[in-house]
Amino acid sequence: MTRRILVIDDDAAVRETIMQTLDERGYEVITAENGALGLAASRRARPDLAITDIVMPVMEGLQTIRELRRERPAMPIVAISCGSHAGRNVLLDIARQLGAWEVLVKPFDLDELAARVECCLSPRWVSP
Amino acid sequence: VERVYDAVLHLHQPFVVYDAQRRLVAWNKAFANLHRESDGSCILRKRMSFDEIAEFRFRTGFYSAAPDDSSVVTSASGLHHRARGGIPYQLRDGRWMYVDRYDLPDGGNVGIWLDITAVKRGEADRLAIEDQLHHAQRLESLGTLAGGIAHDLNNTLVPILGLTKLMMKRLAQDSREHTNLAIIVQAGERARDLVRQILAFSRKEAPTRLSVDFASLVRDSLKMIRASIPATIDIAEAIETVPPVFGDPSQLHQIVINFVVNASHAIGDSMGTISVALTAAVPAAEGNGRAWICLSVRDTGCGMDEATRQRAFEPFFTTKPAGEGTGLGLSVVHGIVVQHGGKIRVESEVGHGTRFDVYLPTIASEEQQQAAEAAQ
Repeated sequence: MTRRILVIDDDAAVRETIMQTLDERGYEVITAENGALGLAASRRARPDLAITDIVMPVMEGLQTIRELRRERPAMPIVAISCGSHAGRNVLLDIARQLGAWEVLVKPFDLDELAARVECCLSPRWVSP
Repeated sequence: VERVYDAVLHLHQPFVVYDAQRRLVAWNKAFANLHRESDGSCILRKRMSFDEIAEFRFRTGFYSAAPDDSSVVTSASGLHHRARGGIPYQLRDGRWMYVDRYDLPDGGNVGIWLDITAVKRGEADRLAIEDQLHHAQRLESLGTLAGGIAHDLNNTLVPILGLTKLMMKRLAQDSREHTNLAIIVQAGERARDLVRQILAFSRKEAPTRLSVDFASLVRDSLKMIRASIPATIDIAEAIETVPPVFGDPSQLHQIVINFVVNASHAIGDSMGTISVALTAAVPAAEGNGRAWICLSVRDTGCGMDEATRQRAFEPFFTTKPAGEGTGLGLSVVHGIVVQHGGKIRVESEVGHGTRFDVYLPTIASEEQQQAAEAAQ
């Protein structure tokens, strides 16, 4: 069964890059350009996993994560954001506290993103 | 009149009267004290010409430096005022004087000297504070700007790095296209590292505060960096055991790395030594009553001139050729040290090398400080 992944990012080039990466690995990818649209897409398409940016217009990422967690408690969420010193990023720390399973600092290695996605979706992963 | 005369005679401010031919008519004790030979004898006498007085002043180095004011002319023939207005100038004893001149009805004039040393000192202090504030604001605004740019750059780098790598996978490894894309990835990674530096510099959040054993941290950092320093450069360690400091280990690590990398760049391809020392023995004068530890990084490299030294911590300031230095290394260090309540001292001599001393407060001293603040 093809896994469906929702990518939420306001930057079209970032969406496209992630989409191609995951598409190549056999995932079905749907995209949304902000949190509000992402939430609507989540309701409509029932993705297996969501990747969301943090700093976005309309509905920013932390709120998006909160809403996604409420509506789909079991769905893994990967938060991505622009990095800070030595990989520490306060927004990503908060994202993790809000329930993001994985956090990645931009610009991340796409192989690593794919690996994290795969890990989240593998059956041995136990929801935190 | 008698009492006015008496008051003027004993005034602390030098006071003098000249006639229309610029000859000495009257003066008080304070003025006389300014015109004594080394044996203590006063040179002044009635009807003495101003040129003679000027000659004495010129001969004895009356002024600590020739006033930069064009209204005063220094020459072998004497030193005299061209203008009537008041001129501030410094005497060789360090005092600043302001001479006020008033014309008299008979064509002569009165000179009253005002000691403006305190005013001058206050002005210098104010200028220094303004300068510091200006510098801080500049760093602050550059940081905000840099943070904003860095955010967008990181987004931009996702497709540049990501899509390039995707394309590489589809091309034969030995193809020219593959090689070109590898160059793009390298350039992108360089940009990514630069952005990381900028973010480190612009970061506003409070750093992690842990109890850090700085001695082992410095040793670890040096172990890590050794491999990337040319073999012609020797690293001499003198790391003493020091009391713990409160700090962000990754940031403190960054201080060591940036200093050592900088030092190695200053030495370049020649032979040289980077001496890294850590000690808790900070002179009382430096300590300001608190306990500090001091990290010193000294190199035998090219050194900095005064102009470079002044700007060494300024973001984006670099002496390296375009494309080689980001100009952020030392400003990052500066930001980290300030966040940790520390301070930096720089000594440098062109051709001989540079020495950076970083002072960080120990945990004990921070607790002491907090207790003192709480007690107030």
